[in-house]
Amino acid sequence: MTHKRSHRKFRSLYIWHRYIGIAAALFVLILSITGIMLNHTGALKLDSSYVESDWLLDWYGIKAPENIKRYAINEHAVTQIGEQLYWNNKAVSGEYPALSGLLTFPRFSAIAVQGEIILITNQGEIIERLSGVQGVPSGLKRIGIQDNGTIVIESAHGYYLTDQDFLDWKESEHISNTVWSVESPLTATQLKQAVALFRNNELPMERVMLDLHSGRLLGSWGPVIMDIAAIMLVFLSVSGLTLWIRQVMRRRQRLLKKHHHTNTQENT
Amino acid sequence: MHRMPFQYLVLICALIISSVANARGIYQEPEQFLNETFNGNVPKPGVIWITSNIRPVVKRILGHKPSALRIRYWKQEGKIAWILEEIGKDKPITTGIVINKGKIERVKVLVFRESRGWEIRHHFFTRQFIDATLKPDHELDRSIDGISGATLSVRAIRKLSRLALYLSNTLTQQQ
Repeated sequence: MTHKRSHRKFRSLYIWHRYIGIAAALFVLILSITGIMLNHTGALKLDSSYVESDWLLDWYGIKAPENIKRYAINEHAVTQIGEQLYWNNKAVSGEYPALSGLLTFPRFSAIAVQGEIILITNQGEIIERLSGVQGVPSGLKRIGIQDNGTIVIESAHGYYLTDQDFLDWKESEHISNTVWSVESPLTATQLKQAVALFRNNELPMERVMLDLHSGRLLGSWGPVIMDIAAIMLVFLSVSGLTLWIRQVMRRRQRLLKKHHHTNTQENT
Repeated sequence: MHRMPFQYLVLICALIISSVANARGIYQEPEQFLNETFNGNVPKPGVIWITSNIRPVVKRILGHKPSALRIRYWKQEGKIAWILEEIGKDKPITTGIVINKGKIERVKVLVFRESRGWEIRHHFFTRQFIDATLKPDHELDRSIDGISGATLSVRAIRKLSRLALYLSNTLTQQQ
């Protein structure tokens, strides 16, 4: 009677082990794959590659800021979306205050933001960031260029001139023949491209992997689901071990019985 | 046992908060630093380009790619002043460094934007750099004592000092 009850108990444990195993398989796969990927973030460049999928970006609620500005001269354009600058669609490292102008020269360009001028190569490498430390007059409002190549800025305290080395600034009133940099309004297509450019540089793959690993990708219920999956794995380990020990013990008992039976036969 | 009156407690808290709040900010305007360094007669700035022959060393000193292709300096009679920036933890620390004949003459933290590690602005820390030179392996010729809680800021100042010495040596060799 006791043997039958014990057998039924282990049979039920075996069934639970099987069904929970099937249910946990998906979570085991997710946890293992994301875990392995997170262990090799650097090699897989998860921290420097960004999600471009629209539905995933929408899921995370990533929206481009509404204040988008653009200055364009010939084939070069600088776009500001929020505090981020894009030089010919390539992100410029750092955060910047309001964009206020652009001047282009054969080998480099000068981007004016409030209080700063960024000298940048045509390929998008920063040559120098000029601020008050480098003598740029405070309260920069706009930037322009004169016929003879002299650069003019309008600051909070007046007009200042410099040459194309941007090393020395002189206050001046002679600004009559200055061509000021003016904003280029974005067309509908350019606006769409700018929004995509911003969104496609916001969500690193590493973040998605971490959220998938912890379950946070599914919102507030995600971690609870992953907790349940973890409990399932604990159950599987314990039940698996119990079933294995039972099997080993039964095999040993069977062997002992067989051995005892042979000995008895030999004695008779 | 004496109980600390509530007013004293509030006063101590206020002092701690105000000292931390004051820690961030401009300690000295860069213009003032240059004026002090050159006794009011600031020379015109020059620039050194981070060309391919010096770029690997600059990268090794900073531990990352240099953020700009050229760096500005002010030079007068063997004295070279640099105003350099390096990120401590999150934000750049603006530092003025004066090199005279291959040795550091002065290190001054000009603008500190981080929330901690501001102790590096004190003279007891910056005086350790005075007379330091650069060894052939581009390390300082002396060890600099750190400050607990300001490890990253200390590291940033060490890097900038090495960079200023290296760039000054390069300039001297070029001229």
